[in-house]
Amino acid sequence: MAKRIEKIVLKNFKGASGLLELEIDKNKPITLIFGENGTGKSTILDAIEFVCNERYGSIEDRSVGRGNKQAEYMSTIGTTKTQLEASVTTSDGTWVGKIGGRNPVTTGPATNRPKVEILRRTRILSIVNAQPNERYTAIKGFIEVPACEANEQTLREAEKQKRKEYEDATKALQQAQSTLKTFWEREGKPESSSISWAKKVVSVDMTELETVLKDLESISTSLTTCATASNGLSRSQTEYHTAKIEYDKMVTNYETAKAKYKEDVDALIEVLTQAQDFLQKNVGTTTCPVCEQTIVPDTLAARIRERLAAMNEQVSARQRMQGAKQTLGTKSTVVGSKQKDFRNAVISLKAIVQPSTLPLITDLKLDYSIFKKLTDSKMDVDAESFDQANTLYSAINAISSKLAAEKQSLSDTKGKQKALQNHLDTIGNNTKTASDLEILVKILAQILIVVDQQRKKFVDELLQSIAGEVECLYTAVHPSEGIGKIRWYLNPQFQGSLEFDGQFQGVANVPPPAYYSESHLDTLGVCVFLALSKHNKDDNTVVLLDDVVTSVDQVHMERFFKMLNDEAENFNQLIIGTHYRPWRDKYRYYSGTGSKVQLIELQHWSLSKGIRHTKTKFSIEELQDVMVAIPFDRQVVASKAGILLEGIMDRLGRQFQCKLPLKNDPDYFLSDYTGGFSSTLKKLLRVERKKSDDSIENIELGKKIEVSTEQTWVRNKVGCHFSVAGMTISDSDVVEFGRRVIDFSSSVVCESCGEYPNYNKSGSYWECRCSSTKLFPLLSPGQTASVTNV
Amino acid sequence: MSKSPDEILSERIITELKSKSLLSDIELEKLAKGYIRGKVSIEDWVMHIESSLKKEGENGKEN
Repeated sequence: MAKRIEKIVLKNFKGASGLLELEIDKNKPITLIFGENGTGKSTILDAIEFVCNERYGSIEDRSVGRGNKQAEYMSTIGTTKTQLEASVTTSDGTWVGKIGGRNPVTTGPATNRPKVEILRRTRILSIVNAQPNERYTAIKGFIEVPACEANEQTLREAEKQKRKEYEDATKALQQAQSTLKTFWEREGKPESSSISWAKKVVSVDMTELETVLKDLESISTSLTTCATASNGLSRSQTEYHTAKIEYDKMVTNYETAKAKYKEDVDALIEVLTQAQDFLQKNVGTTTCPVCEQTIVPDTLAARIRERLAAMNEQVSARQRMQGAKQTLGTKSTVVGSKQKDFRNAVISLKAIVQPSTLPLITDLKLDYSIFKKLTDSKMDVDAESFDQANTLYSAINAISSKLAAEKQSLSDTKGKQKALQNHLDTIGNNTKTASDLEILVKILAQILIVVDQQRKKFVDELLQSIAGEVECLYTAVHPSEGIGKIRWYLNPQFQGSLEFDGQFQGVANVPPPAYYSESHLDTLGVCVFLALSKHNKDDNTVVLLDDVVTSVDQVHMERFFKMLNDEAENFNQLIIGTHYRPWRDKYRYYSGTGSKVQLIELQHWSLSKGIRHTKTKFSIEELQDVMVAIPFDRQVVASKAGILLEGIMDRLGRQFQCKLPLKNDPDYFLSDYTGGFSSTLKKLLRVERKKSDDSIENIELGKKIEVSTEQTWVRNKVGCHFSVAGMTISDSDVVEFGRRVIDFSSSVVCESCGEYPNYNKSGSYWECRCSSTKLFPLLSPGQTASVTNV
Repeated sequence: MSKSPDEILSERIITELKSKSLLSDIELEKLAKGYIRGKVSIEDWVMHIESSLKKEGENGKEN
């Protein structure tokens, strides 16, 4: 058994500045939260949705942004979203809602969290007055089949993907066929078709061709290596010759410089240079190491420097000559190395061409015996081997163009065969692929049709079923008005488009927004919502109605209340927020302590005090309370008793169509009501009440009316006007008047369900919801038909 | 316990696919398991069809 919400706590939640604790009577299926605009009704209902559904509530329908923005506006002004908290309690536990990051997060017991369906005025407009796509969005949550829709989506994607693959395969096939045809036509259309020709071409054995091509490629590669080595050798020889010229020039320059001296300049420079080194290494010596004469070291050193400086030209020329000689030696070594590279490259070439059977090579009729030196690549290069290398290279290189042409021709033949093979493969593969894909796509499309049709059919059936329920509810509110017959259907031409039409003055299939009044559309929206909620309900479903009715007239309002009372039984709990005072008074005056409705009245709101509430009492309870209150307030007792008496008399008067004076002002006084009940009716009026022990209590209501209206002067003198005569009326008379009114009112209202007997189920009498209290007669004398609702 | 809308529709779709012989019984059985959870991927759809076609081909050969 699902548990009802019994407590709501709000902390810094929207208008609930500070802490708000609201106790809900879990024994009553309906809770009516009444308050003027701006007293906090929507805040309380938003908090329930916030905790139970982890949604931001009414702010989601307003243009304040999404996610973080909405989160910012959920907390009371002057506080932050982290200070916000709301909780909902049932006897299964407490669920606490906070804002975690961007979204509401609720913690609490894993199961039995109340499931909330909430209807706001904005949603009514979305249901009945919006465009078909918006209407679909508004009720999508009730009719969607998420698992099936997810599968349908992947099916659509599979069909699309495979269709694309099929088209690609077909395109590749056509391209390959077209290319093959072009080749075939270029060849003069040999064979019966391009395919048979291509097959014949690719069937030719290419082993021999590939062997020849391989030989040609080896020779070509080897020739390239030889050419590279030859070029390198040429470059090194050029560099050697340049170095030789430079060296010769340096030798000449030195000889010229040397000729200026008679002595052997080389030896002299050598001696002086060594003497200079000796003096630097033997500082302070005073004896010449050659002639053993006494010397002055500094003087001798200075003189050696002078003499060497005088021979600077000869010294430099000698140094340049020695440098050029070294360079020449290096270049000579490089030439030797390059000669070896070239010789070895030709040895490799010889190894390839000598055994070759290629006609181009054999036609050269080379005598390989003359290339005896071209065998060992490790041997030093001598003139003979170098000459042999040059001879062989020149002979082969002479036919390099022919070799290249032969190679190109064979490559083309091979390439052509390969290309044809590729096209044949493409045709073969894609013919199979395209054929397989064609079947696959066809089946995918067929399945998609089934899935799509079944979903639409299912949703249509669902909508029809809901429409039937809507019709029942709507007819209860608008009987015999020639409207209703609501029909819902998905527009097959558009995805997510929900159309609806109905009847107006007997004309079928008209769009309700075009013909129905605002109040008719309001009640239609509520009926649609209730039907959808009923369809989707589970044991934990709590329905919230947030100020959904603003413009319903008295007659429709009565029927509407009755319909809601009846429908409340289908849900775990119904919580209504309204600023419509007749709704609150309806329950207040015509219900007793056993009523299924709890009344909560919100007081004036201020930021400092936040949302404040009072549990509103039914009039009978309120009168009982003031009668025993200390100090005793006689004026309040007389006034409240009079109003309660008027309320009951008004209800009875309407129920039995009593004759009251026709007045411009539709308000009637007690005196009007007293005269409206004929003596015949009063004799017939009685209440039959089933007691807890199953015994039946009969109450003659006519007598109760007479007894309670005997003292209406108490209300007039004490409760309404300034009256000296009223001052003479004792407190006990006032109490007696109150007691009689309570007795009369309590006689009419059921002790068990707390409701007034206003259901005509039997066709013989009126009865309350639980049928424990029956009111007789059904019709007053002379009345031809009972009113449909009172 | 009453069936969810997804369960009802899934059953209807499987029944309809069966009546139209668009998939083999074995593949429909496998499909039904994933269908109720909304877990039929693109690859699953293709695999169910290809397996059905393969089975059909094998049966054809046998006959």
